[in-house]
Amino acid sequence: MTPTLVVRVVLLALGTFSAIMHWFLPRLTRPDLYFAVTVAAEFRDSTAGRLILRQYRRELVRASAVTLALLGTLVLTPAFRIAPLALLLQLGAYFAVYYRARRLVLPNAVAPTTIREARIGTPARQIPGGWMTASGPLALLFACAGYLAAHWQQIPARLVLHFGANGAPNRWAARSIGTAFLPIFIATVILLALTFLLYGMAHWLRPIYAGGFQGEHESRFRRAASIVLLVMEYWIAALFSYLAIRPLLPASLERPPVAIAMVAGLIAIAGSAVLMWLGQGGSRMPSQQRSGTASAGPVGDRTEDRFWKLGVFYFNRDDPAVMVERRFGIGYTVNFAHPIAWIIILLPLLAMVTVTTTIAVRHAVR
Amino acid sequence: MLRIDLASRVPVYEQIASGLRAELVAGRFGPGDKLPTVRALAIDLGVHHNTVAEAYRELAGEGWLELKRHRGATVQERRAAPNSSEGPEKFTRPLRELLAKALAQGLSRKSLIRELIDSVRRLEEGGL
Repeated sequence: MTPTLVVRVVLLALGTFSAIMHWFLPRLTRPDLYFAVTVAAEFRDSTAGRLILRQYRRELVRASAVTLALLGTLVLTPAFRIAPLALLLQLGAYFAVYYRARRLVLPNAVAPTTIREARIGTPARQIPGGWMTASGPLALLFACAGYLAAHWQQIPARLVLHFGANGAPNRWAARSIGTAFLPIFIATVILLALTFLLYGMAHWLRPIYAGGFQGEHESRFRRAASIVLLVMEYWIAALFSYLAIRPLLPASLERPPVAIAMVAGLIAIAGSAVLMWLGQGGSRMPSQQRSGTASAGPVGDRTEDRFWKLGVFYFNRDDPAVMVERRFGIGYTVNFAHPIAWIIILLPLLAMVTVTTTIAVRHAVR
Repeated sequence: MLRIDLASRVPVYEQIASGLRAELVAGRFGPGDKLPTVRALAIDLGVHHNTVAEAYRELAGEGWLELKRHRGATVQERRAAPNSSEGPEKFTRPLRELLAKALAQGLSRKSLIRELIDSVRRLEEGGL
């Protein structure tokens, strides 16, 4: 299988998986959240709730048919480099479909509970595997940095800066500390941001249920999400470590293995599938116990609807939580009113863009 | 489990202090036990950290907690309650008001008395 073919297959798989995920998404959220609106738990199974879901899925099928056809056409032609744009277009179309359904749900919104709970006296929540596991990816990168420094004289004078979609190098740069250590630097910044997220999932996230079987399910879901993130971190560390020491490898190993892209896609799809199976916050996990909720009314996610912009962006200056559960989707999002959230999002992006642009301009070799 | 109601007319810091006090009186925490940090409890309850800090200060003023900067709140041995200048009136009035409210809402005198006796018994046994 050629690298180009792998990229094409991965793009098609991502588009198809996104379509399947959006089909099921409204049923994967907590029962008292429907299209990111707090509703009575029984609403989504009512006639009105089912009609909204039917309309959403009808429109989703139409949007999928158009965007996947476009994606398929682009992937099969020499213009496949712009195929990721079709994926973006697909997401845009899905957002429009979701937003139309949300508008239909809004008149049925109810006030979420004002009860808040906390467990006192339980050990502080931890990252799965502790700090030893969480620091593994960074340790791997630093080991690579040490290896590079130790073999500095063996690094060629010209280094590959960028690979094309076919896996062949298409941009080079002169050897310097900046270019040789670029993969290490980029990966370190990405991993620091992901480690921040990992830490945030343990410490900056408000549990919706502090106890009972819901609390237990929520803990399991959080643990599973943390493990998915950790696996991604290890994959990123392995990929960038390979890219960093690639100039020192035998010629047969200099071309990126085609399996790399496939592994990335597999991690994303398998991780998402596990979390979808658990349901948002573990809400789909089977349980013998069906009583013991915090309040008789809808609990929601302990946030108010008015702080959710378009049902997607959480912005609440008075909430000290940096992260909250996503309302339409699986996993977590940040509280955009919190400065730490912007540090997590913007700093790595700014650092990477600045460094790569500077190196590309100053050290590019024609 | 600490539970507060953001819609209640009782200030949130008082609800937090009351909830924690109930846990402390019940003996669920011993001297030296650590309570969650102000930040962690504020995140869990979704309230400003100053609100939690205020509740902790109130409990520290009553001699339940020892507060140390950057080290959180530690439960300390409480030998005797500090003298209150307000006297028993501070407690009897709200108790009477609560009883009147319960009666007005239809609870029987008999069940109220039973509940009061149970509470006193639990208190005498060292819990609440």
